[in-house]
Amino acid sequence: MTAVPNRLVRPTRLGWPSVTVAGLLVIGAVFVGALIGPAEIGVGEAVGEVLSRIPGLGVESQLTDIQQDILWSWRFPRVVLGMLVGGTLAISGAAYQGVFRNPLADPYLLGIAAGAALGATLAIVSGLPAALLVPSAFVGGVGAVAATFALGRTMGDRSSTTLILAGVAMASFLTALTTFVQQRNSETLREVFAWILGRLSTSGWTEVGLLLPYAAVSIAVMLSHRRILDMLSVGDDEAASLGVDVNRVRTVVVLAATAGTAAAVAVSGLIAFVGIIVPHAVRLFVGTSYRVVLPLSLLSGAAFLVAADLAARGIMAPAELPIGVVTSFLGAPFFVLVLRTSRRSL
Amino acid sequence: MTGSIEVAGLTVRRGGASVVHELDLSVGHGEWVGLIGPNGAGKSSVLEAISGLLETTGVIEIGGDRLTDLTSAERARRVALVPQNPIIPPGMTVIDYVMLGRTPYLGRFGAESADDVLAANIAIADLDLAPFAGKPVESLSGGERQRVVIARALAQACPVLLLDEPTSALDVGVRMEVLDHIDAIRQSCGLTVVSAVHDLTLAAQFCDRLVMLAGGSIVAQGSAEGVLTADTIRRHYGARVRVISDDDGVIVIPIRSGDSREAGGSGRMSLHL
Repeated sequence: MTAVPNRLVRPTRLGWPSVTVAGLLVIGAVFVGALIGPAEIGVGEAVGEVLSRIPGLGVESQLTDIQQDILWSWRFPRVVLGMLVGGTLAISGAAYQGVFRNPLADPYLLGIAAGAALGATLAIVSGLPAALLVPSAFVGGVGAVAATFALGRTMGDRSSTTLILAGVAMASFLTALTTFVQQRNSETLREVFAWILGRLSTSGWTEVGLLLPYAAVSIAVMLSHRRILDMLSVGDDEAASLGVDVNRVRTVVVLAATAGTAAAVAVSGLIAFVGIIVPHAVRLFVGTSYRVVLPLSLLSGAAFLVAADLAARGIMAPAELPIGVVTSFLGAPFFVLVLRTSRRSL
Repeated sequence: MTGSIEVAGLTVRRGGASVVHELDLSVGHGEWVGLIGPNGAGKSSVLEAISGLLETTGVIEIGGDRLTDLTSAERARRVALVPQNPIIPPGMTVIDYVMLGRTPYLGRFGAESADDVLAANIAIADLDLAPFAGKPVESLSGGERQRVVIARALAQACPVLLLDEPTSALDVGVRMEVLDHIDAIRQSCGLTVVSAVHDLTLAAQFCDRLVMLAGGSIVAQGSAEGVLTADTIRRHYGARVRVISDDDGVIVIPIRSGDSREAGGSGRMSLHL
């Protein structure tokens, strides 16, 4: 007994090969996203332009002023916004799946989408300035989750199942309210639906600036809890017997994922299924440990949404499809696949 | 740190009903106490209360310290629980699962040290699981899986090990193998073990002392010979048994009741009109 083994087996950890692959996906998506568009800009020209902005290198840009403007005011902000939104939605989905031990959970589960849609709809129909659309959607999303938690408490226990049921009830109620408001203000339906269907169209860095602080804090909190999410995977009682403060962890991770997702939804509209597609795709390659799934979901989600945006821009060019339509088109069959797989193993 | 357990006036309520009433129990360091009793007697509730998972009234002390005065991590460093139906996360490897036992020793965000990895590897080796360390737990047989769950509890390095029906789903050969493992580790590490057991013969074979519960209270306790009498078992389990006590220990054999034996054993079907 208690003999020291000759060879130690190490627990799962994030390996360089998977980080490198995910990183290359991100870099590839950024390049393609920045280079493809009506105005032609070559790879060398784009790289030269970026290098010319770094003091001390002495590299001269080959781009015209208009091309520089297109790159810095339109394409780069759009690609960076896509990375931030995609990464935040994907890691938040993975975190929700860990916290609720439910392979189909994602940040929309507790009413974020319904709350943000109500906030955005109210902002549009009441004629608030466009600048207030994003804060209204954010407040709606966060408010809906807070209401879900409050409702869950009144149901008598603090289990994840109770919280999910409260989220379903809250989302249904808020969706009914949103539909009522839309029906009473049909003249603004087009504008409301343009937001609801999701888009990454941006001019300048305003949306990136709005999202970045929320995304950064939210991602940092989720990443720091990635090992603890593995502990929750044995259930609340067993995790508690291992010394985990289950309610504290659940509250902190849900708050972080909610704040990040609400901010992402507020700037981009309702982009569905990213939080389900990406973490599950990652699991297919690297297994189920959250210490690996969370960081790789972040990187892969960033690459995925930039690629989805390229599809949204390219499929019916010069017209642009709402990106939410593209992700739902891919996500719905993937969702069914996950459902079928989850009956066996997830 | 010693693994003595003192329970005084323990009452557990579940769903508005009291399932354990004013229970007093004392377990010495290094002792193996078996909790026996019919379904619903309160065995699992007592174990969950000692591991701090339930809101209770009364006093529980581990190694002389009140359970309620300990933080959740301190509590998990003293008491390890092997649940009746452990949840095995899909895809989780044996080493990752056993590492969960190191949770109460990890840093703020769960980062493990070299000592934690070593402790998990030792627990895996102690239960002869080294060849499976990198495999998913769900790919193992029932007996191997149960040993993995016990390895997780051993990696917790607690002086007290609580087992809730640890072998109920296993065949008799694997049962003996798992319980022999636990006993060997108990003796080499000086563990205190409290286990809920349905199989009375196994309880008699492995436990130093038996505590019989019925309706949330202790109805008998002491040596296997003293507790496992045909009369006590008939009164609290409602079952006829023959109890044999010889050099191999106490053996409890269930006997089919006379009425049902006649109805089922005659080979004839009778029709009542």
